Amino acid sequence: MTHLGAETALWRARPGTLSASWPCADDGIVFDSASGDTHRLDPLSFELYLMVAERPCTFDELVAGLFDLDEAWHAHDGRHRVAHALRVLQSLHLVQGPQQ
Amino acid sequence: MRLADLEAPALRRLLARGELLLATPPFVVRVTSDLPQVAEALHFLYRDFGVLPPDRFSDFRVEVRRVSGVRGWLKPQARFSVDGREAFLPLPQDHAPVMLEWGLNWCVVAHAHQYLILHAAVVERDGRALILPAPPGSGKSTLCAALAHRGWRLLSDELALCDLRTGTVSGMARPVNLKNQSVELISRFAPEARFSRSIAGTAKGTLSLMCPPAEAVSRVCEAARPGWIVLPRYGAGEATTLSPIARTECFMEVTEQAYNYNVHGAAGFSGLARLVGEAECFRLVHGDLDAAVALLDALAPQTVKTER
Repeated sequence: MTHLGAETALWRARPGTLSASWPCADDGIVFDSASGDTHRLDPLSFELYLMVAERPCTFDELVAGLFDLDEAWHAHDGRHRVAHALRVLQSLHLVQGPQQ
Repeated sequence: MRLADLEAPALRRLLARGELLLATPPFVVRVTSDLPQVAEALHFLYRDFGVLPPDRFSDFRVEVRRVSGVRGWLKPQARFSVDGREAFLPLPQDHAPVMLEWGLNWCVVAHAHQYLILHAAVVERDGRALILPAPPGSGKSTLCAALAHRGWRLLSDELALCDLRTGTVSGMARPVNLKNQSVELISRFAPEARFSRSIAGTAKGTLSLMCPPAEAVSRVCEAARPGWIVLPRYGAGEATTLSPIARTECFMEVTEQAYNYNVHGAAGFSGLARLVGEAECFRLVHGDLDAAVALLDALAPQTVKTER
């Protein structure tokens, strides 16, 4: 359980957001048509954004999609990093979490 | 008809009557002026541009007129207006030619939202545009003037017009605005370059306008595909370097030089993403004009055309 919400609840991209990325780069750009803001995202945040933009995902699905959960330390670190990145994406109004 | 085909008295007459329709593709501008400085500058700088019959449609109707009254007599001033509305504070009459240039830029930036407009110099070679977006003082006009005399076709030293539908870039091939020491620098670099008389004491220092090469004007309707986006920065005494940068980094910096990115919303984002995706992206630090031109020239080596 994380303080971001139940692991079974879904994360999704905010309606009206668009992304752009190019070959040979892991980071990307996301545009929010509601505010007109453009954000450059680091590779992890961008990957998370792309995952929830493709389909709504649970927190566990996001962690599992990005980190090797067979290694305990990796899984623990991954959960923290995903939680932090989601918080940032949420503050930028690019994704919406279980409570929204 | 080209503007050069008009005798000076005929040009002054058309200007006084508001019947000079200047074709600066993709726009047509109706210019009215009672100032000899404007007539002289147009005759010199726009000689290769087309002039249309006065009954044709114009995109912008601009006037550069002397300020009347006692103040205008004591300290001769000129005012610039668009569609009868004054756009700027009056300036000394000697500044009228640059006032017209700034005014035309303002017209485009404020109204031509069919384009995504970048504050950028643009030149072209072999159908590919080299776009130099940068804030004032980065040396983009100087680089643009130099490249225009080294086999690159001038599109613009100030405004890149990006067509979101086709993904192409165009410019108006209008005169290049050079500040302070840049005129001397370009005169040495390209002795064939022709300049208007210099205008001292403007908000940007002493200015001269460089005539666009005739070929650039004759091919002004030819748009180009994005080839390279180079973010220039002038650094006096610094080594000249051209370094590749990530497209994401380039994208964010280009949005800061886009006049109407916010007007276009999602279409602007997608259009700019396409533009950046099609181009190679670099950062240029330049302290030496010859070295900078050599580096930029190497991006698109000139093909030598041979007659068979």
